[in-house]
Amino acid sequence: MNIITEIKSLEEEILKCMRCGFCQAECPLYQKDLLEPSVARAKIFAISQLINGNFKELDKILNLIEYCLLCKRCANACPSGVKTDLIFIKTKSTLRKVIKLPAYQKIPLSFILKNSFLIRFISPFIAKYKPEPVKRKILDKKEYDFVGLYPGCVANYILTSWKDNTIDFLESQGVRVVPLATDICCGIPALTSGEKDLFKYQIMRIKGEIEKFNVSAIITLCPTCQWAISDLSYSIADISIEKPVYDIMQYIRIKELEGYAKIDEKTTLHVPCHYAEKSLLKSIVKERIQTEWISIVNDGCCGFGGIFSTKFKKDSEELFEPKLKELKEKDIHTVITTCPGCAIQFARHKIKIIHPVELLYV
Amino acid sequence: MQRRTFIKELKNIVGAENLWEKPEEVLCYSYDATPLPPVKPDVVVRPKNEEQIAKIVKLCAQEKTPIIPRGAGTNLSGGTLAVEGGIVMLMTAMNRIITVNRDDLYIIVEAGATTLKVAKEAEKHGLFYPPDPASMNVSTIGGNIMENAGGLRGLKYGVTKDYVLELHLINAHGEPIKAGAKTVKCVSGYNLPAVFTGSEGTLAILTKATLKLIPVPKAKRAMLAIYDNFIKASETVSEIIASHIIPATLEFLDNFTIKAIKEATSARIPDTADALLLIEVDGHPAQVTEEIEIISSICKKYGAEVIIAEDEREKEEIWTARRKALSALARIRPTLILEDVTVPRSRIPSMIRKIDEIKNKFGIMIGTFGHAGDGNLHPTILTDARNEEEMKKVEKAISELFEEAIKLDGTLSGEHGIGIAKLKFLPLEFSRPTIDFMKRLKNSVDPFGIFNPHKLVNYEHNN
Repeated sequence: MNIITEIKSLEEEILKCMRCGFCQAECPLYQKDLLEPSVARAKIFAISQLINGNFKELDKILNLIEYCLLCKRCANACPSGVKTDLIFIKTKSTLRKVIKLPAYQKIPLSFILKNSFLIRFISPFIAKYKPEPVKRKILDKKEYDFVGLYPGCVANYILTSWKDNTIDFLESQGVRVVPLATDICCGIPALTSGEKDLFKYQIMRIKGEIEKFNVSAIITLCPTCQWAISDLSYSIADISIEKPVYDIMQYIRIKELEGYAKIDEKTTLHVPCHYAEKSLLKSIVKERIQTEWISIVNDGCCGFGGIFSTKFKKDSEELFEPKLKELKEKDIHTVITTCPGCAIQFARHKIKIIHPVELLYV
Repeated sequence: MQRRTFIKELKNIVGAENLWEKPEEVLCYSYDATPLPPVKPDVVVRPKNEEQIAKIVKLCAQEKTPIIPRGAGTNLSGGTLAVEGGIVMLMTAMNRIITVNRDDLYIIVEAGATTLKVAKEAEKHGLFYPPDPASMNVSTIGGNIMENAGGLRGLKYGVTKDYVLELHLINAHGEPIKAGAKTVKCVSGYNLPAVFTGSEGTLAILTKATLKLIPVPKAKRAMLAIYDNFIKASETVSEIIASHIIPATLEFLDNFTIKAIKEATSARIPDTADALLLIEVDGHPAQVTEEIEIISSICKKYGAEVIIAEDEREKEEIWTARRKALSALARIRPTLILEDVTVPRSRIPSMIRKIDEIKNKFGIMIGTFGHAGDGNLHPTILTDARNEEEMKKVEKAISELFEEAIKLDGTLSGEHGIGIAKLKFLPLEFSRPTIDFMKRLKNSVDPFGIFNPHKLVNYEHNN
């Protein structure tokens, strides 16, 4: 009964949903399946039925919520401002108290979380692109700022060029960088599996690392890590990270850092679902990088979704297919993106992925 | 037939992968966008073509099992609820655009295609499909036709019915029938497209439609008129129409709605605003320039402050306020009841006054906005379905709202339909013989009572 009471605490948020169904237009899974259970409206409705006792099978509700990329597209577009992502994450965490994650999933999960270098094992499965080293001019700005770099596991262990170039780029601009908590996963894989305590533990550790340095801000290379540290830390784990957390491109814009680049082949920009300021990303990338920009029609979610891609492998692939097809048709081989998760999805289909910071120079 | 056998038969028709019957699956088809208690269907099926639909209909006719067709489930009158169970027929797999004919200006689409897809396809060919219900990004064209959906452009461009040329349907015997023709004119037989359009799925299952397209207007201009008194705003509407200018859209927002928008967004609207008119004219560039000036001077004559959008960005800004109206209101209370009473345009001031009176009389929250140009208002009641006391007042208020609309020569519903939500009010608008006429029509066309029973006229098996 405690479980229902706990979920009932979300009732005010749930009641905000007027079931208009507008989330159908945003949901990558609904657009693929054209079935109601895929979309946020249905999941929220089902949770409401759990609260009022009309539906009692907790495991079925959990299954319904698990089939979700947590891409936040519905939350961003909801006319009533329903925080769908928080409803799903919180309900999932509550249900996981009674429907335990099977040991064969939980043990590896907590093991990888604690030994994040292990994610290197996926490295051989993806095509990595090593850009030519960029020679950057050292600008005479004399310790302009001091920031912490939290690269996230993928940029730290697999796409290491993202991390290296960020440090090189920032230091050439007079920004002193200290990499911090590089070996501590942000805990998102735990949270999206419903393991809130594990998530909380990771955030605590990261907070501890951040507090060791007197940095002005934290720079991330992963929009999902950014979401975890700057937002979910507080809204889910009740831990407040005092320092502002910026994605590297946001930081470049805020500090008006210089840096330009040129790509000699057709390129498209993939905007990650979790990217906080999508229009900023579009404008900064297009004004800094000179290339033949091609826009693609299938410009939605790449379908990766972290744990989602392992749990729903087929669906994840199906979401990526139309994009892959269009890239091939339009003969585009280079994709710019700023999310390591999306990067993995593209890279394992042999598409060259570049983070803008790998190219920017003065 | 046993339930098991029935389900097995259905599976044979659509395949196991297109049938859902588990409680957690049918739960997701137990509601639409209407704030009504949910009802679970027995089973959900998703046919892929007309042949499958025909077979399902034959099976259901034999078993007297209700079929509730469903597109996106954005219905606002409970039209997609399985009142006494039955099967929900999901049309989303039949969503192809079959052809766009640029010489004869029409598009042929399957019923499950979204309105947005239709509009975009038309646009790709330099043509225009004007009906734009608020849910058009997700709603299906089949749903739009069966509900005769309206939208913002009703004043100048009409509603869905004005674009229906030809329909393909499956009748109660599981046979394909055709209504209308692909021609602009057609008087062979009854005007069947008009009978089926707005029939709320009670007469046949729609599979395919031919819709009229028109050339895209060459120019557009938008403007905003701000009033310190809503009566002046509604008088402006009358004078614009009386001057024989037909704007593409002519939207009204009341004081309560304006405040809600201001609180929820950063829209720049003066505090003194008691009412807003949002006006867009389109057509030939020279005509647009002339009309916007005439309208602007009429607005000023009635004391409005006028802002004309100079570019695309300013136009967007003006429209943002209107687009945010419903959502801004929705944030205020947990339950939102969106009505769509419609009156002849000249009666709008009386209707708005009455809404104000009702609001005060029952002490409930109502924000009003809507398509002033075509007399279609959206009094939006903000309440809390958990509060029984308040809900009783809301119900009484709605009754009075409907009574007044009818008294003013109006109608219960301009664009949302009767469904089950307004069923009991139908006798307010129509005499017994008129309702009987509709019932007889329903009963003769659907003798087994399988097509969306309980809706619109509430099929009675003993009739």
